[in-house]
Amino acid sequence: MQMNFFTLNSKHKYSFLITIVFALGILFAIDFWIHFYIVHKTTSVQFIDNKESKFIHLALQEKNTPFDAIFIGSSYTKNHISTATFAKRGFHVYNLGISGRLLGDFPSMTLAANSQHPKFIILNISIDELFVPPSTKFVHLDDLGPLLASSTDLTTKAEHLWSFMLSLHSLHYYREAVFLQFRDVINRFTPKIKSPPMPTNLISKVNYSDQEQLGIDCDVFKTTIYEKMKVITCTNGDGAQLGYLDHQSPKKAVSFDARKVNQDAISLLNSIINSSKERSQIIVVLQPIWGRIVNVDFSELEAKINAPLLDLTSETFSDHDWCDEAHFNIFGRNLYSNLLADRLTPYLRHFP
Amino acid sequence: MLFNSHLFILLFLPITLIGYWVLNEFHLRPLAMIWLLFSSIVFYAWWNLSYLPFFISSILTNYIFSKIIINLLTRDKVANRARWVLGVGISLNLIFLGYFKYSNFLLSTGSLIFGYSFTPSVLVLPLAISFFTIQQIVFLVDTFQGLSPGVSFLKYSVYVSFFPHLIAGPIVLHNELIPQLDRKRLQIFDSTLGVKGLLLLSIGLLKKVMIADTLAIWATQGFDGVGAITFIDAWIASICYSLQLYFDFSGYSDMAVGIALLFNIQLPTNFRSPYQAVNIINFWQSWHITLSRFITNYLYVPILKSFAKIDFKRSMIATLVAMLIAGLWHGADWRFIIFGLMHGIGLVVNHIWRKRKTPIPLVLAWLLTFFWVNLAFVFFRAPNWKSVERMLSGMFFPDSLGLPNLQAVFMIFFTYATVFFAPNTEKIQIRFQKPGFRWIVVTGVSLAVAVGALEFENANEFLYFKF
Repeated sequence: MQMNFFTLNSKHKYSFLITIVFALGILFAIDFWIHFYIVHKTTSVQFIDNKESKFIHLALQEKNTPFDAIFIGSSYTKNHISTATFAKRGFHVYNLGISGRLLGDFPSMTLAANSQHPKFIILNISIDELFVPPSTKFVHLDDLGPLLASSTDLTTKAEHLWSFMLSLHSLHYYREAVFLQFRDVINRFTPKIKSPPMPTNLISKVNYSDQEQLGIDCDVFKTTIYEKMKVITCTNGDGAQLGYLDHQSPKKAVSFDARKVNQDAISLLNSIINSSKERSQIIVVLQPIWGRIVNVDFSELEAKINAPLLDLTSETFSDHDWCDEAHFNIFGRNLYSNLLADRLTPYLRHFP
Repeated sequence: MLFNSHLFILLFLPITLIGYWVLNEFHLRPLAMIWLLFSSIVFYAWWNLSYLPFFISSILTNYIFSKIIINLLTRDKVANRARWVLGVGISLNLIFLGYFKYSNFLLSTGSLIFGYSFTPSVLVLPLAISFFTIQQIVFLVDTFQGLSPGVSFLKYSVYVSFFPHLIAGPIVLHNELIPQLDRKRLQIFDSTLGVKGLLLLSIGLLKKVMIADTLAIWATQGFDGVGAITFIDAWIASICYSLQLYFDFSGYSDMAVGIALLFNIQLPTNFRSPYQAVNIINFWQSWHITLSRFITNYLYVPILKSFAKIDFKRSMIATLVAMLIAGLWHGADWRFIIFGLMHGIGLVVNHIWRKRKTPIPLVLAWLLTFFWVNLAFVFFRAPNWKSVERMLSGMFFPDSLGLPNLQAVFMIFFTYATVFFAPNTEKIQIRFQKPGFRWIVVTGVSLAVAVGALEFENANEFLYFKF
């Protein structure tokens, strides 16, 4: 008889399989612990900046009055939109902005928002996202179907499927945060030559502690301090950045050809809009981007999207209003929230 | 496809392994070999499909040359014709290597000397060309010397293309790998080798993703920065790079050895503990060992034999020339030649010192060795001459002292502690006899941590891939 693995007489015969199962067991245990930690840490006044936690936080909000609007987007949404600004105008809104989220994450976020039956869901996106295939680093199960359906080629479908499989492992999602925490701890001991100089040529002379005095309009439950900025997270789901930009915006003109819009992106966006139509109305907001003056035919762009399109890319903000090259500081946040409220009020007021 | 990518660890490797062992389990050995060859070709082509025709034709051409040499040696009493065929075979390999890797360098150097105008052309350097060219030249030379009996084309192709060693070594000799393909005992999956393979794979991954990629942050800041660099930053950057290169390349080698073990194939050790070395000879005995072996057997010895008389002086000349060629093998640039020359000088000085039998305190010997190796790596890493000048002036003629970055200092201390106190993978392999409870726990935890840390942001390429 020819020898094979099963005829081998060794007491260590299955050690390879045991090792693999053991390693997978550790990873599974870590995932379970992460899930437990997220659920444990999330209450109606506290959350972690990720989908799972923010969805729970949204579900735990007071349900006596239905939401007029739920804002969906990335950190641009979380840190740029002030719920209090809308409340002053009599609108009950929720900020479902989650850092790092892209168009590819919106199907699951819209589904979570829809479960609260808001009148409107406001999708906040950067114009660039309409010109590239939709993507996301971590694909939620609810994102997978729409992403696969909107992809026109097989390679992209395979990539989405692969990302989804990797996303099943929670540690994959959190290790960057763990690493950053570790780095911050060591950073505290690093000697500094001198504190960063206040910019003299252009930007606000007001530092972030002064800004704090000036206009935080929500209850803060978490503050993270970086060298040049302070990031606050509020109990109601909002966030804000305090700080200043130490260099001037290039104000670069960037042109987009509305005809060359990415079909996969438009298809995904429209599938989100169509699937939501029966429950909530959707409005798409194109958000401003630092240092950019956008040239595009908006009417042509609007014609491709099955929902009202609000263009805020052409709104100019001064360098005083930015905290870094992506986010507004508290001044910009207030200005932007008021601007957005002005543009959205006609829709919210005249809801049938 | 990178070893430290999810695609490789979670998809390519399991599929290849399962296919290979299932076919072996059903005693379909030729199919298992074809599967291994196919997987290796997919692995290679994944980088860039355009490399593939050259790679396949290189394997085919060298195999044909080896067959002709064997035929001529069997038929002719004198080996002149076989020697001539060997010469053509080696030349062809060198011409292709020279064309892809050195033509721009030679023509631009010529333009500097002779004053003609030259615009470098954009040549796509086939991946791993330096590694598979060396292996095939050795195979041809050994065939001529009667050291390699005729093998089938399938076995030869598997030997050259076996994906664990294909891209960046270890440089495996035919007589190390081909006989293992025939051994019946190795055609049955061995759990002990499997667990050992997983352990080495995990160690290699941890070295790469946790240590090398972290050290790269400060090395890159120093070498790729602009403007003046402070004394402390320059030394931190150079030391970080020396350590990064070791953990990156030895990590890759550990992974290669570990992955090969999953196929029951033992690859040669490529690193011991080079940064424990107290002289340059000692350093090269534990740094990129398979390259050192090639330099010694296939460069140094032939150069030495070409001299009419062999004495100490001539052996030192042979050492210098061999190390210059070794430097040039790493890359087509004068900085690599200086790197080789510095190591050549280091070896010569070391031999002279050894001859004089002058004692030197161990700590001083270690410091001098590391200083010289670290200095040579400045030329090796710097992207251009400006960077060399900037780094050297920061290290030796600084404008300011600067303040240390504690993260970098912490990482350097941690890495040095690992270098000095942790056993190297060769020692771990010796200690690992049977996969008992302790080893299963160690391997399982290492594997889980390594897989958890995979592709932090994006999987970074291994440094030796560009050679």
